[in-house]
Amino acid sequence: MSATLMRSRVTTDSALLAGIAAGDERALGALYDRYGATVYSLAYAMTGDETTAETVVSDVFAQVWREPRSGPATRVGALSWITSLARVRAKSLRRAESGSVALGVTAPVNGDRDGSRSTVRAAIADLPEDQRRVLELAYLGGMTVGEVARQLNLQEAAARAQLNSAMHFLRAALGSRVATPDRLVATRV
Amino acid sequence: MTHQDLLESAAAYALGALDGPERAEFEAHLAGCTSCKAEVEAYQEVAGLLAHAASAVQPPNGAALRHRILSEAKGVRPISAAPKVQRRSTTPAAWLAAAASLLLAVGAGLAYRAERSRVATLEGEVAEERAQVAVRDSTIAAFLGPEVHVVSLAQPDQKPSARVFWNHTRQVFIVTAFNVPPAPAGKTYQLWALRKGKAPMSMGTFNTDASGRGTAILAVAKDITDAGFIDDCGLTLEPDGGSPQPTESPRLLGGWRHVD
Repeated sequence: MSATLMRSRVTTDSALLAGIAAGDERALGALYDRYGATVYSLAYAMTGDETTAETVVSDVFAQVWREPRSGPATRVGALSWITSLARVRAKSLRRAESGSVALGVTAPVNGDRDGSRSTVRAAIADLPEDQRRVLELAYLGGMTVGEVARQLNLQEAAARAQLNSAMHFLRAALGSRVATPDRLVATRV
Repeated sequence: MTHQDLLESAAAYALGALDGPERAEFEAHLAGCTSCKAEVEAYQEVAGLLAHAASAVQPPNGAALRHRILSEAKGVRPISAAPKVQRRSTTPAAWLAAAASLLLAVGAGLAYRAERSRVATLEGEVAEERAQVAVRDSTIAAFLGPEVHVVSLAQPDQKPSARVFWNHTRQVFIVTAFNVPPAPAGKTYQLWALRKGKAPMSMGTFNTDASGRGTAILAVAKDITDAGFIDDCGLTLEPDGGSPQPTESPRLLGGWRHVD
């Protein structure tokens, strides 16, 4: 991937958010085409239900349309923003007794044009088992550190330390993709 | 709590995983701490990338879903397109607050309760995942771009049992061993940057736990940075504290991929 291509993605992501902020429905459609499947996959992983996952996607893009960010307010990448909305929504829609969740799964890699998916999965696969479990519960399970600790019968400080180690490792391993928000646009679905 | 204590909460905060009181305390600190803000933003980017680790599935009615989203949008004007109401998320705290507001914004009309829960349990497939690591390495190396390189360490003709990422931006080696028995008492594992016809350069030492796993983040020494091209990476067992030069042949060896 060339730096030029990555930069052009930056412009495009920002331009889409700006277009949405200006009320351009085509920009919303383009943003959906880019991230809709990722949001759906995340929501499905968190809820295990197709209809609920579709509701999450629909709600998230409604929220993006209703309350878009623009200009310098865009400190983190569009994907980070959208997926954070999706996690909050999926958590609220999910049944409390929802089953187990797992990251770094073995589904076929498709639509992975820039390798984000395989890279992220490889990094997650390298996490120690206990750290990955804590991360899964916090990220896909939407649990707080305290809830994770209770679930796994750990001290809260231990759960926090494991979560911290996991994120620290991923941040280092994913290096160029998280060094600055501007680089993040390497993400493509 | 000290800044250092609070810094430990940055990752959890970025994941929305702090409980109320902790979150309030962290946000109070965050308002005046640029380094914590930067930490949170970096971790938020990591969190965004984690979405890629969810199993890739397509919505069964993707076209209808897209149509519904755009149809509903037609009846609503973005807040930012109206005067005076523009919302700016200038801090991570406000950014997370905006995420939380989704509950209120769309919860009432669109709430739908899942009746089924059939999240696949994939714990057992972790072993299979490991087996695929070797195959995937070539993909990773091809995609990581110019700032991160990777080496898989293995015995000859065996699957890799450790991997090292070289992050040039941060000037660190990230070591992750997943099948390396712990070093005996008084010994440590040491990594070496190897160049053809030149003396090995130490990359640092690490150890693994009883499960054969270990991770370490090692600063890249100047002699390695200055060396330019590095061919290979080797792992030896050395006395505690490491050795200036390896005292045995590498137990594990691998070639750096895509090193400029």
